[in-house]
Amino acid sequence: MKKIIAIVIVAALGFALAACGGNTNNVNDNDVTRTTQQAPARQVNHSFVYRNVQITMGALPEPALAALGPALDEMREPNCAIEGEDVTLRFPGMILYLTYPADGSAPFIAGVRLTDDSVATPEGLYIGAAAAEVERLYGQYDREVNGFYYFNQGRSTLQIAVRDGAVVQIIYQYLFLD
Amino acid sequence: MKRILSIILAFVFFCTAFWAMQRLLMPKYMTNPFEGALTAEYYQSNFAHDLIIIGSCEVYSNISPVVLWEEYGVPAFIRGNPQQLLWHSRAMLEDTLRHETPRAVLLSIQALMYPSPPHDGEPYNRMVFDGMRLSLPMLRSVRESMTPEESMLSYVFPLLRFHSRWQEISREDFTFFLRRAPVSINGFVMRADVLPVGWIPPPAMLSDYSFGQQAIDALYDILAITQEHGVELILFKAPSLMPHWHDEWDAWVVDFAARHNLPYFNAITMTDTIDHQYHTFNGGLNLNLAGAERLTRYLAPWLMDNAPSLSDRRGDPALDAHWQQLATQYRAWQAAQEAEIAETGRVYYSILLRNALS
Repeated sequence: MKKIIAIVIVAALGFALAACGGNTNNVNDNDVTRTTQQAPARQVNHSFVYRNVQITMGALPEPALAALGPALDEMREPNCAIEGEDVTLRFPGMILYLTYPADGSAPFIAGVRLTDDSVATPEGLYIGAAAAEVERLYGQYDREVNGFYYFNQGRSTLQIAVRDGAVVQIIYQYLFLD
Repeated sequence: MKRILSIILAFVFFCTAFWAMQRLLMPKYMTNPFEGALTAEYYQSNFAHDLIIIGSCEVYSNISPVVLWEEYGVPAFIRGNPQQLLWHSRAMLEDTLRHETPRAVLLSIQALMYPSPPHDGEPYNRMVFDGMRLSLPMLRSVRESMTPEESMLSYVFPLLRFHSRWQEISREDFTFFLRRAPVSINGFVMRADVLPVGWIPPPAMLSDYSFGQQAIDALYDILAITQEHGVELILFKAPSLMPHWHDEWDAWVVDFAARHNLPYFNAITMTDTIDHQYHTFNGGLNLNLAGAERLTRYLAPWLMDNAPSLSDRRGDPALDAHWQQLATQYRAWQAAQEAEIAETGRVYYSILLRNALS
């Protein structure tokens, strides 16, 4: 009787340990994935310069925020559950998107959107500029979808939308996903 | 004989220990995020619902089943979870049909905007599936929802997923080891507090307004399943201010509804009815209790006009008694939340738990 119970307990423990072992591998896999995802972020991503403040996609938000000063408006997007918080800040001519992950990893600048012609990209493109300026200033695009031109750099992209011969939308985005 | 008895005893001991370990390590969802408890709460209900409401927080915060019953006589249950995607909703529908055949299903179509499982989808998958009874449709939906790091086996044997939970075991795990407390009234998550809408960034134009194929396929599956079971399908969009619902998306849904002869209630246009200065508890994402009751009072008559299978069931003694109980609980939760709001200005998870334990 004792022998059989001992065998069963050993089997149960073995099962539990196997379960833990399997998941340990998963954790390692996750760590590898995270490392893989984070490593390219150190490549040179797109930067937008706003009032002499360099805003680099994927960078830590705090240095830029300290230099920019208070925003005109702020929205903290309530998440349906637990995955962190997206913060959107409005400045004159620009909206800044920040992400604060809940898993303890570093916050980052997720994007910048130009909202009027009071600001321009470092290359000189602005909302309302002639469509021809896009090619002149940026050259060959990486992708085009329905008048949206994408220029990739590092782990970021610059999206320029053209309608009726004019630039109508300029957005920088950090590509934090593969 | 003694040997056989020993083997049987050992087997029973093993199964009990395995069950207890699974039970202990399974997240209880009795505190944040308590929404993970919603799926399992359905099995505690009486399975006599004419209307099943399926979707994300777009439905479980926004429609009051008690108002639907008390004022229109429609017995309803909300089967929703945070960020419930359309293939999750299909699993919810299939799971529901294993227990009852409602007369109608009200489906939130907001999840059409999500083309594929998000990279951070595991917590949402867990909240949908942890409480769901095992079935083939459930496993199929798990397969479609899993992130690359997840394994199908871990949904069959949750123990395999929770090795790290050993370190997180808390009082909650022992308190709710055998019995869970309700966190909703027939799937409705009550929030009586107000957080008015503030600044919302103007929506960006999209390069492509097409929905993802996986979401469209799931919607067609839901349509086919409801038709097969003779259940009326009604499409619904909540009056949320964000995430932005583009006109191009709405045009697709209007066209889909017209092609398949489905009623579609789009509450986004109810700007004269829903005031996001008073009727939201999280800045325009979801409605609070006052907003949900207000929306329900507009939705219900429209439902009675557009879903012929629904009728006023008040007067059925069993249903009357059941809903009287639910309404009493509803009013008690409302009073408790209002007391906390008077004291602190907000409803916190503690009060939700206290309500749940009452």
